[in-house]
Amino acid sequence: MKAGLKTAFRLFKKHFARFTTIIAIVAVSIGFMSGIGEVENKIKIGARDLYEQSRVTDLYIKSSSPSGFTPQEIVTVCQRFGEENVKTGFCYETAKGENALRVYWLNVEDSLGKIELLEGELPTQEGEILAERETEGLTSCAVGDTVYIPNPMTGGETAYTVSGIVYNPLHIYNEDEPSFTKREDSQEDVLTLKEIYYFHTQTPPIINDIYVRVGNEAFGELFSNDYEENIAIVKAETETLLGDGATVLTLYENIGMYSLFSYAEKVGQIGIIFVVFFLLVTLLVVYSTMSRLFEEERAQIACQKTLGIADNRITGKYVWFVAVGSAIGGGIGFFIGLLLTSLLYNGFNMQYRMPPFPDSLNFYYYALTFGIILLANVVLAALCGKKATSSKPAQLLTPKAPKAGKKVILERIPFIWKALSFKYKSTVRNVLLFKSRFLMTVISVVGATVLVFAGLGLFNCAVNHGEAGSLIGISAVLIVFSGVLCALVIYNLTNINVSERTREIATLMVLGYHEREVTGYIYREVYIMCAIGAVLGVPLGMAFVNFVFDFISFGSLAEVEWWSYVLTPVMTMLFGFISTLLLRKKIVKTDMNASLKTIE
Amino acid sequence: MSYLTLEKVIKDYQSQAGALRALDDVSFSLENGEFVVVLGPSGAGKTTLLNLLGGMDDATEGKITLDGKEISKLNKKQLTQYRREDIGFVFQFYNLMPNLTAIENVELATEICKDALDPKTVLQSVGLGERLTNFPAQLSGGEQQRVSIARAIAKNPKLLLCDEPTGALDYVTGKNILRLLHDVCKQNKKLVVVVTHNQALKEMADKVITIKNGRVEGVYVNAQPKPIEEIEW
Repeated sequence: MKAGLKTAFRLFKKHFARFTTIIAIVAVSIGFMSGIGEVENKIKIGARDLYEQSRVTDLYIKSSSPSGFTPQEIVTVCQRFGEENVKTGFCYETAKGENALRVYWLNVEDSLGKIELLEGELPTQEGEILAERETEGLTSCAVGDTVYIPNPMTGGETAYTVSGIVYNPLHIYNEDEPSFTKREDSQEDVLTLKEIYYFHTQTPPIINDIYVRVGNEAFGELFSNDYEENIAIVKAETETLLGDGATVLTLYENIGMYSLFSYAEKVGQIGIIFVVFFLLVTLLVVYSTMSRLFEEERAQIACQKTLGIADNRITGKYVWFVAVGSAIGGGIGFFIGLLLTSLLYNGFNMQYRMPPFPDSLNFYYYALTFGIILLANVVLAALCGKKATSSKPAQLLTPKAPKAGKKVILERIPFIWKALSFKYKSTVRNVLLFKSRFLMTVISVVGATVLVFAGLGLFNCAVNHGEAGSLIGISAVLIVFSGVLCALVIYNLTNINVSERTREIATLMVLGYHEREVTGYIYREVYIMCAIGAVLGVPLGMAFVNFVFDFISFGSLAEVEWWSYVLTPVMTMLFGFISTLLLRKKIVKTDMNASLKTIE
Repeated sequence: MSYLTLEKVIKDYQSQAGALRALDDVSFSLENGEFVVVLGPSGAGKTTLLNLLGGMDDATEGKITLDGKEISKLNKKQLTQYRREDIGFVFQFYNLMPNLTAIENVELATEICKDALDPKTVLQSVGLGERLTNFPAQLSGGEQQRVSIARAIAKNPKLLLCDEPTGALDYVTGKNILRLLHDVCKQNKKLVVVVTHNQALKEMADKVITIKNGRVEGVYVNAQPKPIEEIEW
């Protein structure tokens, strides 16, 4: 094996912990970003597949005349849209107690706006009827049940036997659906639809419903901008065609189809905002990891430089280190993302009867986020490398002088400074002295805290707005992933903090500081930084949540429960605590000799 | 019974290549108030010896006693306590906390000791009375080593261990530091052990222990030590 390849190989082995950090952060990040991003995509694909396969009708024209549409009107519609795109039927609604009941007379077997038979069979004799599937809004019905349909003519009720359960794609919504029937005592409120039945017939008694399929390739994909423009034109045209006697509804007025799409878009928007945050925090972590790596490799780099190896080749090895780590992380992230997407997609089943998860090979968001992360990481590594290799070998061989101590601002306020114990004086000075490390830690912790708070806030609002059940899933995912990110960030920065200060740790040990006192020296700083991050994270999280709610036009800050304000900083501190616990071993195992004898 | 005794001390290190004997059958004894120089080439086992004396590592076999206390029997926690109370350590690279001032660096050691001396007085005694609130980066190498010495003696330890204390200093400064260590030894009646590879220093010591390949090559008592000013190297 060539020596160059060998050192590259050993680099991975030596810095395995950092390598795993990069893999972990990239996997979490890409998993989250592609997983969330892809949900909107997959829901749209699923809904559009359903729209095409069931040939869902775009227009629903209702006659306001008691005798329904005239044959002439029906012919006009058929001539305009083509007979194969038109389905007719009769529908009537009636109040039943506090709710409404709807009965359709239509050809259930028509492939246009295909109604799916879920259970039982089509009616074969008089007195049999089909019932719409049970949802949160619709009462349950089983094959063989007897149902009573009010007869508006006689005022009595007729009994029917349910022969089958069906699913109409125009009723994919699982929650309460409004009817067309107004409350008796109100001009505004409409009754809630509780029961839907179908009579299977080719010849309805009256025709007061016309369903029209308008969509085709030229029309634009369902709910796309083109579609919206075109359907508005067609709607206006149809209204003129039929005059005052008809009401034309589009899929934008179909609560199931349209709200599914708008929630999918909300998820997408939440995704975009959070993706930006995740990306920033990830880059911060990779940057600090790489800076530390180059710091530890000074002697190696100097040695290679003295041997006359070009800077680019020296840096190249480290760029590969990051690229391979990112690629492995990306591979793991792909599966996390896929799992996340299908989890969130199926979460929508609470609210909608979702079409099956599309097995499309469109991984647009994955490719996008992976590309961005990989590119950004490689560029970061190259920049860190350029900085590290730009020094002369002689400079690199001498250890980097420790940062000079100096008085901090707090020391000029004697009554505060004097009140601090000796230990805290040193801690405060350290925190303020290493400004870039301090800022990076605090920014990362604040970022992760903001994400956790946003996840909790969204959760609170989704729980309040019962019908936004699908958003509960995404908020749960947000909380979990932000938590993992937060923990990773704190762990990584604490780890770097410890490795940067092995010398100080060793000195304290030689001076006879007990384990608790030594770890306390490092931990105090970590806790202070976490506390600042946690405290700043809440107000910034509030501002962020406000922005998110505004952006997706959903929820409000007032709905965020008090415990979210408490839990968020508590979680951040808990992650800080766990990280320090994990790093305890590394601190107490510091070799006093190796750390004190030579400098690094 | 001497102040510090080592009896048949052995130290083995386990490595992948098998056991490595860093110290083999080392025995000697030192008295309080002596200025002792441990001499030997690199790799001879000087550092290992220093680690054992300083309670930074434990012996594989043998017995080490300081002022009646058997060090080789102490557990990890007791060793920490031993370093805390009984040992003053002066490092080659000073090892000051960069973010603490001179006086705070001394306080770092004294605040955890029972019989500590006053940090300010000690710093004045090593000639740094005017530099109390300076940070290490604002001090020269010699001054930093003085702070390091002040930190070690302020603990009022039973044993002062110095690892190549002049290794990172220029000739004149190095001499000044050695004079300071010698003064501390004689004025405060402390046992001072200086580990070095500088042969010239044996002339200033009360006792010289030479080490080679992990063994004591010889213990040489200097009846008439020379003052540091008269030694050249």
